[in-house]
Amino acid sequence: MTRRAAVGLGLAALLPLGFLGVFFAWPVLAIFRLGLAKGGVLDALGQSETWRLVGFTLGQAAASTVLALLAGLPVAFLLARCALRGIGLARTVVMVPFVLPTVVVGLAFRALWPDGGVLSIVLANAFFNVAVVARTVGGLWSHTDRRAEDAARALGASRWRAFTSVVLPAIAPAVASAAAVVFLFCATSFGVVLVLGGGRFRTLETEIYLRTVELFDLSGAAALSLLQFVAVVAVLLLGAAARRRRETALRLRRKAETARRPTGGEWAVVAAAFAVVAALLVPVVGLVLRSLSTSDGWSLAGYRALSGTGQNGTLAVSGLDAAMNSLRTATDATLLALFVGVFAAVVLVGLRRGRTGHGLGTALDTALMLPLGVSAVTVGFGYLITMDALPGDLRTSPLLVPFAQALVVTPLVVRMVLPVLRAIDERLRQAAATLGASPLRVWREVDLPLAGRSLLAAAGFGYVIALGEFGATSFLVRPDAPTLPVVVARLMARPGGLNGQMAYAACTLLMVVTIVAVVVIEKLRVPTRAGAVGEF
Amino acid sequence: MSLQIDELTVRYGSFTAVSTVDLTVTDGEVVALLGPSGCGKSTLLRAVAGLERPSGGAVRWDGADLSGVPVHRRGFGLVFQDGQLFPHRDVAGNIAFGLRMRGVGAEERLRRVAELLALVGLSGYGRRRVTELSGGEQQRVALARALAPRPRLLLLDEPLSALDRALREQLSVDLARVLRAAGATALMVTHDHDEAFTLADRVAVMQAGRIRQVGPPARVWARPADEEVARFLGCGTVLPAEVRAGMARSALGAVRLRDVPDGPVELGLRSAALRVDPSGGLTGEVRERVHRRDHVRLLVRLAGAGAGPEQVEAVAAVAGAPGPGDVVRLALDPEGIAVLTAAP
Amino acid sequence: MIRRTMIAAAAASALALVAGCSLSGGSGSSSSSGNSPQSTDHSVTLVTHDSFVVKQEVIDEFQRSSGIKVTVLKSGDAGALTNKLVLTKGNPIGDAAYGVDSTFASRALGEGVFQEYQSPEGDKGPQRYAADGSHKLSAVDVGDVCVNVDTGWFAAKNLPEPKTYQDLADPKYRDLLVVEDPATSSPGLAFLFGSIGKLGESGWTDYWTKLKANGVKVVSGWEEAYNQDFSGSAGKGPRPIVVSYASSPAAEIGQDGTPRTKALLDTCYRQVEYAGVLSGAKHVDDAKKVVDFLLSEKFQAQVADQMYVYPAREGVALPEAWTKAAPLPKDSAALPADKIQANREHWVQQWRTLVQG
Repeated sequence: MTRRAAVGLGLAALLPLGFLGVFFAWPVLAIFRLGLAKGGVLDALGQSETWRLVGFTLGQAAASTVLALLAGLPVAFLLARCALRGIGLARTVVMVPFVLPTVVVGLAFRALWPDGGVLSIVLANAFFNVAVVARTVGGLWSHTDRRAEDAARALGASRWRAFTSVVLPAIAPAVASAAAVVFLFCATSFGVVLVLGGGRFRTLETEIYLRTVELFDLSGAAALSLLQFVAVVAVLLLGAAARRRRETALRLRRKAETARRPTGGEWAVVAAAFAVVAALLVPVVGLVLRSLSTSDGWSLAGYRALSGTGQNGTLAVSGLDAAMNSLRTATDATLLALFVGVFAAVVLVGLRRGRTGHGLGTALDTALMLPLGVSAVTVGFGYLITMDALPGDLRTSPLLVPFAQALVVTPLVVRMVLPVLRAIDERLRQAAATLGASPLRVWREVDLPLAGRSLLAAAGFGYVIALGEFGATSFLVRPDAPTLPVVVARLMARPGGLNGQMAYAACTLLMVVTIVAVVVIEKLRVPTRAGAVGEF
Repeated sequence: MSLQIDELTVRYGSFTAVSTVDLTVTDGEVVALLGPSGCGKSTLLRAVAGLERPSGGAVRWDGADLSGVPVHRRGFGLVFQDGQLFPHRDVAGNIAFGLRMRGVGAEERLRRVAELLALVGLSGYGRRRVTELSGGEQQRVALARALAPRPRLLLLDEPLSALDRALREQLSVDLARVLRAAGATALMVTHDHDEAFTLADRVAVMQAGRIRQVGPPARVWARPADEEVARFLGCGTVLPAEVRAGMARSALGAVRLRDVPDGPVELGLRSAALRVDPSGGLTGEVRERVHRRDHVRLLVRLAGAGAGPEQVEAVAAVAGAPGPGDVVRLALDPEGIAVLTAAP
Repeated sequence: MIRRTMIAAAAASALALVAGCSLSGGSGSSSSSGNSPQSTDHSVTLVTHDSFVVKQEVIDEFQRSSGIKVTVLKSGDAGALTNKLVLTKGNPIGDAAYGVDSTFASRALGEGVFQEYQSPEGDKGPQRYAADGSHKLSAVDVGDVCVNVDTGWFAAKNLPEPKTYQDLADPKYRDLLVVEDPATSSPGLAFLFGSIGKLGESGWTDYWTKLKANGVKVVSGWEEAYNQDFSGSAGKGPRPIVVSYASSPAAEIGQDGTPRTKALLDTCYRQVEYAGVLSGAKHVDDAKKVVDFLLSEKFQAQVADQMYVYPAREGVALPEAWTKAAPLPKDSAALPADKIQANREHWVQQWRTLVQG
C-alpha cells in the first residue's frame, strides 16, 4: 500500500468512525458516565442474580443462533443454488418475519405454545432471524464457483463430504457473519423475551430497560450494560477470529452459472428449506386471519378503520400515513446506512490489504457491530443528554429516527457487502488502476458492479430492518409521524375489538409494504456501462 | 522515453525483497527480468507499476521521479499471469476499459478494440463473455487490454506461465510479434528462459533480490556472470578449464571455443554440451533416459572419473537412443557450453 | 432485458416518489415545528407520554384563540417521560409536560423538573388530586386500575362474580385470575400498590402468597393479559378475571349495547396524571396557558374518549358508554408519592421473590 492510499483510507475511515462516534459512542458513554458517577456498579456486579442474567442471556442467544443457522442454511442453499419455480417468492417471504412487531409475534407464539417458556423464546428469536442467515449466506453462496464442489465429488467425496470440505469453508465467512449478527439480535431481543418470558425469564436487555426506564437506576443499568458490552465484544472477537483467513479471493461467478435444478439428495435439502419457509408463514397467516376476524365473523372493519385515525382517533395519523412515514424513514435510514456501511466496508477491505492494518481492521469491524449489542433505550437516553450540544438541538429532531435506525442497519450492510468485496481479487483492482482508473473509479468500475448484487441485497435487507425497527424508533419518533410498528404497538395497548383488529390490519399492511419494498429493491440494478455483461 | 530504476529497494518488514536494483529500459526495448520464483522480480515489477512502495531508491521515467505518481497516472500497462479480466465485462468491454478511463470517444474505442482484437488474433470475439474464453484467449485479451491505451511502458508479470506448454511456446512467438508490431517498451517478468530469450532484447537475471547480470540474451546465455547464474541458466555442471589459442581443456576433454581469451576459465555445461558420439573421448554408462520432443536426455555415469564430475547430462538423437545400462561414448559440443565471465 | 430494466426503473422511481427522502427533501410532516410568522413568538413544546391523544379540532381551536403553536413531543410511557425530563432538566426539551403520574411524581418533583404554577383552572377540581403542597403539578386526569371480570363467563358458570381483593384468593376462583408483572407493566405495578394500600404493608405479602397458591397467572404486559388471556376481550382467552382499567369495560360493549365486562370497583388503585411548566422553559407564559388549556373544560371533556382516562375537572360529563359501563370508582386506593418513591424497588423485589421465586 502506498502512502497516498494509506492517507486516503484514513480519511475514508473518518466517515464511519465519525458517524459511530457522534451517534453511538458519545451518547452511550455519556449515559455510562452518569451511571458510574452514582457508584454502585460493583455492587451490581457482585450479585449472583446479575450473573444468572448474563448466563440466561447468552444461553438463549446461543440456542437461538444455532436454531436460526440450522433453519437458515437450507433456505440459503435454496436461494443460492437452486433453479426452481417459486424461488423468488421464497426469497421475499423469508424477509417478512423481520418486520413484524415483536409484541405481535410474541402474542402469536404465545397462542401456539401458551406455556412455552424458554423454548418459545428460542423459537421466536429464530423465527425473526432465519432471514439473516438465508440472505447473508445465500448472497455469498450464489457467487462461489460450483466447480470446486464438482471436483471434490469427482474425487470421490460424498455429497456431505463435499459440503463440509469444500462448500462450508468457502461460505464460512458469511456463516460466521450471519451467526454474529443473529447472536447480537437474539442477545438484545427485548419484546420477545418480555412477552414470552412472562416475567420469569429475564435477560440483560429487559433488565436494563427496567432499570433505566422504570426504576431510573442508572448505575445498575450501567453495570448491566457494561456486562452486555463485554459479552458482545467477546462474541464479536470470537466471530472475527473464526472469519480470519477464511475470506480469500474466490472466483466470483454469476448466479446464473451456479444455480441449477437440484438432483438426488439435494431434494431433501430443498424440502427442508420449503418446510422452513412454510413454518415461517404459519404466524404470518395467523396474523392476516386475525386482521379479518371479529367476534361477529369475517370483516374488513380493521382495514377500513386503518384508512382513518382509529377508534376515537387513537392514532394521530391514518394507517396509510403511517405506512408513508415508515417508507420515508426507512429510505433515509437505508441510504444513510448504505453510505456509511459501504465506506466502512471499503476501509475494511483496504486495511486488510495493508500488513499493519489487520488489527485495526478487526477493531473497526467490531466497533461497527456494537450498536447491535447495546440497548436502544441506552442510546435513546444518551441522545437526550448529548444531542443538545450539536447545532440545532437534535434531541427532538425527527432526523434522529433515521440516524438511530441507520445505526442498526449499517452493521448488516457491512456484513453482507464485506465478504463479497473481500472475495474480489486485489489484482483485478490493480489491473484497473494500471489502465488509468483512479481509486474512486476502480471502486465504480470493479467493486461496485461485482458487489452490486449483494449491495442491493443489503439495501433490501436494511430497508426491511428499518421498516420493522421498533426499539429506538418508538423512543425517538415524533407523534405526528409514527411508523407502522409504532402504530401497531399503540393499537395493541388499547382495549376494544376494533383496535385489536386494526393492529393486525396494520401488521398486514406492514407486511405488504415490506414485500413491495423488497420486490422493488430486488428489481433495481446497479447502473453499468458499455461492455457490461449481466449481473454478479 | 525510458525507464530508469535507481538503487531500488523494497522491504517487507525485515525481509528485503528487492535490494538496490539498477536497471534501464529504453524506448522500444523489451527487457526480461529472469529469475527463480521468490527472487523478487515480481516485486520489482509491482514497484515499477506503483503497486508497492519502495523503501529506497527511485523509479524514474525520462529522469522524473515517479514516487509521487499513483498507479493510475503512470501510464504503464500491466498484464498479470492469469489475466485478471473483468468478469462482468465482455471481451470488447475489457479491451476498451483503459480507453474509457482516458476519455476516448466511443467511435475511436470501437476502432481501437477491433484493431487490437485483430492484433491478438481474436477478431470477432468482442461480444463474448470472458468467462467463456480458454486460458490462451484470456491472456490475449489481457494483452490487448493492456496495449489498448498505448501505455508508455508495458509490464508483463509471467504472462504465459499459467498456460500449458504448447500454448506457451506458440503464444510467446505471438507475443514477440505483437510487442514488435505495437512498438512497445516492455518490462517482463518470467522464470522461463525460453520465454525471456524469445521475447527480450535484453535479459536481467535476478537472484535473491539483486540483479546479477544484464545483457542481450545471447550474451547472457553464452557468458553467464557467475556459477549461480550459470546454474540457473541450465548449466548442470560447472568445471574449470584452461584456454589456449581458442582451445579449452578440462577434465572432460578439449573443445574449441570462439572469442575466449587465453587463461583459466570456468565452463558451464548444459546437457547439450555432451552428445553421444561413437568417436567421442569419454565413456560412461547410461543411468536414466528422458525423452524430449527432438532429442533424448541422458544421465551418464562416467567411467574412470578422475578430476572431473562423476555424472553428467548428455543428449542423444531420438532415433536409436541408448537406454539405461548401455555404455556410450560422449563428445563435447561447444553449442552447449557457456563460459563464465567472472574470473575463477 | 430492456423491458425488465424499464420496469425496474419505473418501480425505482415510484419507490423514490413514495418514500420521498426526508433527509434531502423538506419534511412535509413537520408542520408542527412551526414556520408560520406568528409562531416564532408564541410556541410551546408539550412533552407528553405515548398515550397522549387529543381531538384535532380541540387543539386547533386552542391554537387559533391563543395564538400559541403547540408542538407535541411524545416520550415513551410515564416512566420514560419522567426520566427524560430528569435527564434534561438543565436544558429541557420542551416548555410544559403532561403525563408524569403519581407513581413517578415524587421523582420529578425531587429532581426539580417543574417550576411553580398554580393554574386558575385548578380550583375547578383538579387540586383534589394535588401531588403535594408545592403547586408545581396540576392533575389533568385520573386513571384507575381495577380488576375486570367477564360477566358472561360467570353467568354461564353460575358462579357469583368476585368483588374484593380477598375474593380473588378464594379457592372458588382458582386459576381464573391473570395479572401483569409489576416490574414490567404499569397496571401490574398499580395493582400491587393497590394491594399494599388496601391490605397494608404487613398484609400484602400474605395476600400474594394466597394468590399464588390460588393459581394466579403472571404475564409481562397488559397486551398479553387483556388481549390474549382474558376471556372478555376479542382474544377470548381462558381466564375471566384480569387486571385492567376501570375504563376498559367501556370498550367492550356488545352489539346490543350491554357491556360484556365489568370493573370491580373495590379493587381499584388510582393513578393521577399531572401537567406542569418545566423549569428552564423558554416560553414560560405560553406554557402556563397550555397547562390551563389541559385543565379547561374543552380538553377535559374529550380525555375519556381519547385516552381512556377520567377527567380531573369536576362536572365534566362522561360519555354515555362510560356512565353505563365504566363509572369512576369512588373508593380507590392510593399511596403517597414519597412512599412509592422510597419503597417501590424494594416492594417489586419482594414481590418477585414471593411470586416468581
